[in-house]
Amino acid sequence: MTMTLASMTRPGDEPLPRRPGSLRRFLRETGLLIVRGLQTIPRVPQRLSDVTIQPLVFTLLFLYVFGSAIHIKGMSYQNYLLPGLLGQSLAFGVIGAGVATATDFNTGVIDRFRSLPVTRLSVISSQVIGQILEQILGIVIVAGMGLALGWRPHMSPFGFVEFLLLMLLGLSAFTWFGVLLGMIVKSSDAMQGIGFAIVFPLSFLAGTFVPIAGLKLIPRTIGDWDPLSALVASVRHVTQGTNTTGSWQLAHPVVSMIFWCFLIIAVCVPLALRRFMNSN
Amino acid sequence: MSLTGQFAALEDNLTAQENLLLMARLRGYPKGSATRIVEGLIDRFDIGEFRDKLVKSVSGGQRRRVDLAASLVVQPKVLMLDEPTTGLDPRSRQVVWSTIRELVQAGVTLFLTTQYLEEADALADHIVLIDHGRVVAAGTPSELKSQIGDQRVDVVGVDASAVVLIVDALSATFQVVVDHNRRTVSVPAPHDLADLAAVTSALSGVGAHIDEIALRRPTLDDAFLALTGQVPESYENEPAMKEVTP
Repeated sequence: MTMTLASMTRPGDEPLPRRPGSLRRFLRETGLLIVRGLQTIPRVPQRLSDVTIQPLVFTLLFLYVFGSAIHIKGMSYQNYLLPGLLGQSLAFGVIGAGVATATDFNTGVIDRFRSLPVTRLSVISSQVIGQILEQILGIVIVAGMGLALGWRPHMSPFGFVEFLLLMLLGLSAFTWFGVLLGMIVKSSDAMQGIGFAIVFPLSFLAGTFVPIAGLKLIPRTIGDWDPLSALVASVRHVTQGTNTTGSWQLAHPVVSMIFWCFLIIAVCVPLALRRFMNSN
Repeated sequence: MSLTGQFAALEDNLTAQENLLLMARLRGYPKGSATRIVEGLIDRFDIGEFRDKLVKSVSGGQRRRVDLAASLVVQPKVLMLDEPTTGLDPRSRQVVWSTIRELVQAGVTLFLTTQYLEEADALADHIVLIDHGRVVAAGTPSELKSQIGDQRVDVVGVDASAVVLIVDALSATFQVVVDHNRRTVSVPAPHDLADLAAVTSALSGVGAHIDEIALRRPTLDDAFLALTGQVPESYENEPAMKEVTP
C-alpha cells in the first residue's frame, strides 16, 4: 500500500444528499434490502427448494398416491386436493420464513445494517416482503401444477380477486409469524425441527387431504379449531364454492380466516418489531 | 460510530463489490457516488483481485479487508475494532495497519482490542493492558515499556559453546543475563550505540560464532509478562538456566 490519504477517494469527498423524508427513506432502504435478498438467490438456488421442488413433489405424491384411494363425494380429488395444498403452502411459509430469518440473523450482516443509519423497520419489512415473494413462487408452482393435472377451480372474476386477497392476507400473517419465530429461535436447524413437529402435523389435520368430518374424535377436534383448517376451508370455499361442515369456523371459513390472520398480525408484528429494536 | 466485530458482518452470498455497494447505498448515497466510493475502497484495501468473488469463497484475510472497508462506508467518528488482524496473513495485516493509521491521522478515534501487543505498540497512542479481566496497566507504549527496564544489547550465539565464549568475553565488563534456551546473552545498554560498540569490540577476537547482535528495547510483551507477574516460558520451564553473572 503506497497510497496516501490525499490520493484516495474517501467517502467524505462524495456529497451525501440531504436525508429524504422518513417514508421515502424507508421505501428506498426496504427496496435496496429486498434486491439484496433476491440477488443472493441465484448463488444458493437450493434455498428455494422449499418453494419449488417440495410443492411439486407434494402435489404429485398426494394426487397419485392418495388420490387413487380417496374418494370425495361430489368432486374430483384434484378439486379437493389443490385448495388444500394451496392452504398448506401458506402454512409452510412459516417454516420457510423462519429458517430464512434465523439463517440471516446469524450471519452478522444484520448487525452491519444496524450500524448504518438505516430505518430498522426497513430491515425487517424487507425480510417479510422477500419471503412473501418466495412463497408466491411456490404457490404459483402448486397452482400451475394443479391446473395441468386436472384442477378446475370455479371462480367468478370477483371470486378470483377475493382468492388473491385472501392468499395475500394469509401470506402476510404466516410470514410475519415465521419471521418472529426465526428471530426467537435463532437457529435454522431448530426452526426446521419446530416446523416439522408443529406446522406439519397441523397442516395434515386441517382437512388438507381428507375431510375433517371423517377423522376420529381427537384429531377431529384439533382439526375443527386448527387455524389452518379455516385457511384450507376458505381457499376451498373461494375456489370451488364448496362448504365445509363441522365447527363454526369451518362453516364460516372466510370470516374465520380473516379473523385468524388479523389476530396473528396483531400479535406478531409488534412482538417482532420490539424484539428487533431492543436486541443488541 | 462504527463497529467491526471479530467475525465479518457481510452478506456471504454477495460479492465483495456488491456488499460494499449495498452498504454505500444504504448509507444514503445515490448510485453514482456510491459506485465511486466503492471503487475508492476497493483500491485502498487491495480488493481488486477478488472484487467479483462471493464473500463466502474468499480467504479470511480478504474477508477482513472487505469487512473493514464496509465499516468505513459509514464515515465513523469513532471506530471500534475487535481484533482486526486475528488470523490474517502478513500482507492483509499490513493493509489493515496502514489503513488504521491513515484513519487516525484523518481524525477518527479508534478503539482497538488485540491479543498482539506488537499491534498495540504499532497503532495505539494509549494502551490499557487487561489480564484476566483486570486492568493491570495503562499508559503510552513507552511509559509501559519504561516500567520494566531499559534497552539492552542481545547477542545470540550459534550454539551452546559459543554462548559460553560470549559470556566469558562480556562478563568482565558488563552485567550479563543469559537465556540458554534462546542462546541469548543480554547486557544493559543505556548508552545506545556506545554500548553496542563496546560489546562488539569485547567480542572481536574471541572467536565465538554469532548469529545475531542487536540493540533492543523491551517489547510490550516483556512489559505485559512483567506486569502480570508471569515469567516468560523459557525461564519458567528451566529456572536453573537463568543466570545472573556479576
